[in-house]
Amino acid sequence: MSTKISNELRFAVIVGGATLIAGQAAAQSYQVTDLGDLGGPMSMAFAISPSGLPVGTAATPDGNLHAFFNDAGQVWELPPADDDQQSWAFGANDAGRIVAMSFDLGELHVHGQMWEAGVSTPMGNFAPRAMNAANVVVGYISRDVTDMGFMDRPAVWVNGIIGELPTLGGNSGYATAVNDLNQIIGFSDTAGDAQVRATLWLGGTARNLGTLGGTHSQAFGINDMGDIVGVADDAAGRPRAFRFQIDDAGVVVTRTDLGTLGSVDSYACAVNERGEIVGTSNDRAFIWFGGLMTDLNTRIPAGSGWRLSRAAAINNAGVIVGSGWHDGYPKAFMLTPMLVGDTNCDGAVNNFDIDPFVMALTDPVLYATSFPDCEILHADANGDGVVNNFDIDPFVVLLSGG
Amino acid sequence: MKAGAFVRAVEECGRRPRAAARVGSRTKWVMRAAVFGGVVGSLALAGGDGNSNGVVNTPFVVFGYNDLGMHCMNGDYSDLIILPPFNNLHAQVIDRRENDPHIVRTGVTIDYRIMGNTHSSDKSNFWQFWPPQFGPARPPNIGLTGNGLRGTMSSTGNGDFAATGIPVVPIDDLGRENPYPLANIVVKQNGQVMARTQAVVPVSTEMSCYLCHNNPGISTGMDILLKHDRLHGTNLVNERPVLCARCHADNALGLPGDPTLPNLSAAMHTAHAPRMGMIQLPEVCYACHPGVRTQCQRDVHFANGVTCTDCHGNMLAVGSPNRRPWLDEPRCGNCHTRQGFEFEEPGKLFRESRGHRGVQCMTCHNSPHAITPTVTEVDNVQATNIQGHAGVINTCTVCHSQTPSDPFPHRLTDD
Repeated sequence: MSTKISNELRFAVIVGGATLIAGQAAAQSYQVTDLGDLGGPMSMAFAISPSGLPVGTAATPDGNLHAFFNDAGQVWELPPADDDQQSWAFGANDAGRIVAMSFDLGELHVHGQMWEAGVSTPMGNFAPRAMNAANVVVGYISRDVTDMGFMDRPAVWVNGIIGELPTLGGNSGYATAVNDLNQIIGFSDTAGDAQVRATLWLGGTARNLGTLGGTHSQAFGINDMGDIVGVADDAAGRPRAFRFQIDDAGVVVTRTDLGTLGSVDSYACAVNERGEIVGTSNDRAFIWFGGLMTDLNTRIPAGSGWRLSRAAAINNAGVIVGSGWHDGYPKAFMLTPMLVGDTNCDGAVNNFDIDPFVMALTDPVLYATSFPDCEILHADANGDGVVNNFDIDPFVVLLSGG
Repeated sequence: MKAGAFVRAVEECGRRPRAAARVGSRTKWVMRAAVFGGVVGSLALAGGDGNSNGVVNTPFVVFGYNDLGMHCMNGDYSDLIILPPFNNLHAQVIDRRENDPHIVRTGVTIDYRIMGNTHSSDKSNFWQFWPPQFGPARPPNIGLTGNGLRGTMSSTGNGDFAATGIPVVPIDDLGRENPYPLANIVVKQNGQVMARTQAVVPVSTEMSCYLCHNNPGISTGMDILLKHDRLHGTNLVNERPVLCARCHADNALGLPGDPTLPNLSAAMHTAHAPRMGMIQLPEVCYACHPGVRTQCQRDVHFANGVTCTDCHGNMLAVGSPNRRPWLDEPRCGNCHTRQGFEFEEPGKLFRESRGHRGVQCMTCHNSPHAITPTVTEVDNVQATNIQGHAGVINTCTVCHSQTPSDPFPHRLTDD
């Protein structure tokens, strides 16, 4: 594109605004990061701390899977307990603690691990699944039940004490998440093991959260606002991602089917304090907000080589972790929201972004060369997934603080 | 055999030691009271309710087993399809209320469910790539035969009941890998629970093609298809997802393939046999059959140092064009000889055979590759729950009200 046109564009950006659409909301784009490995070909991420520490599991050179966390790009291994071969990390908080399951395939008991400053504290046969800011950990224990065999029971771990949570009358259950109000959710069997139902534990009692009209449901995420997400059968028996909102008494006041990404089923994994919900549908990671389910694969740079399958967790900064495919292997990813309009990637949207913005519009190759650490989608001001002239007006809005 | 002997046996045959089989004891749990502030509130205490004698006391006794001891499935179906999520769970029921126990063939319902593993379609993309050769696509979480992760078994007409095509995957609902999930099996008669048990429904995606097919920038499946195209003049990369059995006959899927081409097993084993030296694994079969982590061969034979090839032969033998894959398999009687003992029925495999008045061999011995006692705890659960100790079901009073005075007849007929 000629210099003349570039200057015209620059002028349009500087003085533009005549055709601005007030309040135009831009869909969020993300920078995608491979969370690394432990020498093997695969990895998965399951949780992220409020301050952005992702945790998961990754293959080692000998083919086993060991827990890991990624601290500012550095991958750290959290090995299994003695005599175990596998470990998977499922929770992290800003108190510097990480919880992981350590186990051997084919064995009955999982050995919980609480990691802090590189030191692992055994959690007994408690299998941790999530942890809140106050180090309350929820998960399950496996135990022998008379005439029933081995059953998994929902449980909570606090300061070394394990407490079993009641089920909804059935024989097994799992606690999957806990918010900072110590509200615990998960799922358990109903009487006679007839159904599996999303469960809320309040005051030591189990409450059946119901379904979307079908038989079964499971809850996997809860925030402090009373949003509970998971999967529930609808009246047609289709598994659908849901958001149930509860009041202060724990009563469900709204039930929302979050829809799908083209398949008939969807699964919600987590929700943050902004009400952003992540999960999977049609083998694609999604984010749901304000009634709209968006395929996260459409919100990352084109040509990234990623196929995002499952978004497992999202923190309050909107950073998402999960699992997908990259270079042909299952890989853990982290999606970091781009500051749209910050085309020079200095952390702010201001007049210094005008020239890079124009460069992104007129010469993407030069932009990539000039700003190698800055995704061109920072210039995608209208959030339609491409950088073009339709981004000019929204960019002006961003510059003017609109 | 004592637990320690298992550990020694495993160590002696050069494998990594696994936890010893749990023998003869059932853990009693005594949970401590936990009192927390706030909304966590008071919590229920776990009971310490172990079964004291370890022998069933229900009117019936039910035994669950998987037909193969392991079912493989793809981890990703977007490029190629070898095996779908498909598992077969069987159960045989004995009425033990009278002195002459008998097999229950009708008049009961047998429900099954996979504990902690209630959905699959969010853990596998099989439903996105359902090939037409498998018939019309089923709803999410429903397998090829219409069964799901919970349901009711049907009579096989062979003295037991089965749920076939269960689409279980090796990831539980909490996200953890578990190739050995437990199925809860409940037998009811007129709505009353008559027996229950737990059996492993083994499944793994650990077909580690990536060990060799690992060209950077392309998927393992693409690498396989590209090499196939180059070697055989096909155009599979443009026909994805490719069902291998579309051309290569596969008895596992019941697909005839192209009769001018080698069957899938022959093609795979003969093509790869000369190349296995590229892989440095103590057990080379685990490069393709699950696997380094899964170690699906976990039974009493493994504990005693028997390797895959000791029973199955080497790769060229397995890949012989004269062999009928999945049908021509090792026979117990090839190695076991004992005065007065009979083994498989003529023309049948272990997994199909019956003896002792129609009792399935697997009822007492468990599944192939998981013949009890196993080195995995989970495969010993059933025997431990039923008779109080791991290993072959050899406690007569599991079925008989009194121990018969005659020697146990390990024969096909027992009249």
